[in-house]
Amino acid sequence: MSVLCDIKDVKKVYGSGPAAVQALRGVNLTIDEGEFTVISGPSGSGKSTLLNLVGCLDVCDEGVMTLLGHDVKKLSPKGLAQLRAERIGFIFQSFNLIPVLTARENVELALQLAGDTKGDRVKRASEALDRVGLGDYLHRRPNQLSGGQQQRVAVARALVKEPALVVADEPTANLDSNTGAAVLDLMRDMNKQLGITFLFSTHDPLIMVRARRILLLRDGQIEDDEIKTRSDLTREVERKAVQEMLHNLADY
Amino acid sequence: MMLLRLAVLNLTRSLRRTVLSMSSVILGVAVVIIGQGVIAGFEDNAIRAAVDGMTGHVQIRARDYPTEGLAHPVDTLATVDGPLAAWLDANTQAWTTRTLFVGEVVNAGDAMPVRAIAIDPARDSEVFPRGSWKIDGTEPVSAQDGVLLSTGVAGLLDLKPGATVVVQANTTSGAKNALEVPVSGVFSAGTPMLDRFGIVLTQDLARQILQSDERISHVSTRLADRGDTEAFAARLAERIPEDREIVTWIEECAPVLAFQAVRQAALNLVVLALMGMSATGIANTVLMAAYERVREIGTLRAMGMTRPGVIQLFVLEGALLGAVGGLLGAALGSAIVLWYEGQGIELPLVMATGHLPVSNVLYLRSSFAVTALSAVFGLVTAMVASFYPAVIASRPAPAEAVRA
Ligand SMILES: Nc1ncnc2c1ncn2[C@@H]1O[C@H](COP(=O)(O)OP(=O)(O)O)[C@@H](O)[C@H]1O
Ligand SMILES: [Mg+2]
Repeated sequence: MSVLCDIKDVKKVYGSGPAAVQALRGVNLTIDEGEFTVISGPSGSGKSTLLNLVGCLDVCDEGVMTLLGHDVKKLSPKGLAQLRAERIGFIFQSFNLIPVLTARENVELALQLAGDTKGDRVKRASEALDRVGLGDYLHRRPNQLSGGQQQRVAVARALVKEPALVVADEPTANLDSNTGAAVLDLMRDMNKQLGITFLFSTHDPLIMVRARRILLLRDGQIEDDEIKTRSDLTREVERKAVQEMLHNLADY
Repeated sequence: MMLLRLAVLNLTRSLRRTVLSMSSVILGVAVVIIGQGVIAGFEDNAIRAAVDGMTGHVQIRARDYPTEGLAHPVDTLATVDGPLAAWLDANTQAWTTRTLFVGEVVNAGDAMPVRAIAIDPARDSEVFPRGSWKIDGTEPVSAQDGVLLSTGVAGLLDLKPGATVVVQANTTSGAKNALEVPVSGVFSAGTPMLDRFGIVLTQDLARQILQSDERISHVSTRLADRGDTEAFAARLAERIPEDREIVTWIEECAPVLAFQAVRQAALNLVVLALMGMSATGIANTVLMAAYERVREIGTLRAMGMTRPGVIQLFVLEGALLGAVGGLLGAALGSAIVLWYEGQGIELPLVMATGHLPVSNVLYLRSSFAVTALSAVFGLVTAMVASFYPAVIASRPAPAEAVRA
């Protein structure tokens, strides 16, 4: 398996002087193609910062980051924009659909911005929505869709251009747990079917367990990096499911 | 295409704000068009008043003829010799003679000074069209018909067609002379120059009052094409006696046309102020949109839109505002101009000093070029106004914008 992203001793500081915040204090990380990896950690530990760097929304202050064969620091803003447009999909916590556009137009926009000229964009946008189960909702505006449906549109939008990487910062945080789990299952199906690499963050253990690799961030550093075997995963899922059942029972 | 659709849809998001800032463009563009229509109308008006009322296109008169006040000396009258008459027949569309003199009209105890215009009844209307004249009674065609009084004179002396008045004036040799004549009618020509002090009579009758034989004071010509005026005047100048001079309508209108520059400057100021207002409105609209949509812009940036791309989107929104506003403003402005181009506006007689060539009905003049340019001006203003806010909109880093 080839390396998608390689991060060496990356540091990121916000602000300057006494108000400066060390968001990342030397992160080393290699992500292979096809991974389905979660970044977990307490609030403020640097999850979003790390995702933004990997997604090329931001650049690091120190260290080296290689993504898809590019030394990211050497790319111009235009080069970064092009990389994002063509190779990286995003899913956001608050869905971030364009409110005036319909579901299909939102997906189509991703193709347009990617400069995609391969065939009928409208058709491909419709197909992408079909794949996430929204074939009947093509002409709905975001405010006519539930949160889960909106996030599915966002998934379709991220995937329609067949990117190498999808970055998702807390994609389930604004969804109830069942809907969140469903969206995550959808992401994992896409990961399996299309081989697209997913990197996402969460602090919900139920979501975390669905990942195959769990990175634990604390105070801007990777504290734990756990790659699970299949049996690990099943055991974990079972344990969490029982936990939740008990938890739910306790609520009654 | 998607970008255009996005821009259009974005404008519908805060419809009231959009309509408000668009109205300022509509207003600005309409005012430019109406203002230019008025200015062009004034120019036409002045030319029409001078050409149709007093000078024709090119006029021959005594050298150093007085131009100020009510002065029409009769000691410099002259005849038109045969060769000149023949040349004028061959080189003009029409020509005629007039004799202007200052006299007095007396009715019972009342008297008032008048500008008397003696005409050749057979030819005068070919040089000075009567289109805008309103006549109660008839225009005199012979000495027996008497005088046609302007509304100003008839009004002040309380005279009606059929009445009898005394016209008195100095003869060419300086003696006083007076004749009792009938009033053939009352006219208004729409030019205060004529309508306040004017009376019209035939050359025959004037000859009796002035003792002036065949001599006249003015020769007026009408050319087939007004554009030939200066060339014609130059050729005519070689054919007139030493003691005569030539005036063209262009010279006659100069004082009024000079006024045009002042009007144009005033309009430009108004336009500048209005456009400043619309520009502020549009800049504000685009800026508010920029602040409201920070997260959305961040999303677009994450999806690969560049900073110039964001600027383009916002300028496009401003441009759409300006384009629609410009078109509506152009429609509104030209509708108003076209209406008053046909209808005319009665001017208050403030302008009517009595010797400036103006007509008291102003017909606006429409111009396709002015209309199109004004609409484009609205569009360009909107684009320029939205540029800086668009730059601000594109400023937040994508990561920050997404977080907001
Ligand atoms: N734009 C910013 N300016 C200043 N501080 C920031 C900014 N973004 C994040 N931080 C700080 O950096 C640290 C890491 O933040 P973040 O990456 O958002 O953590 P997480 O996503 O794990 O909650 C936090 O202390 C946060 O307050
Ligand atoms: Mg975060």
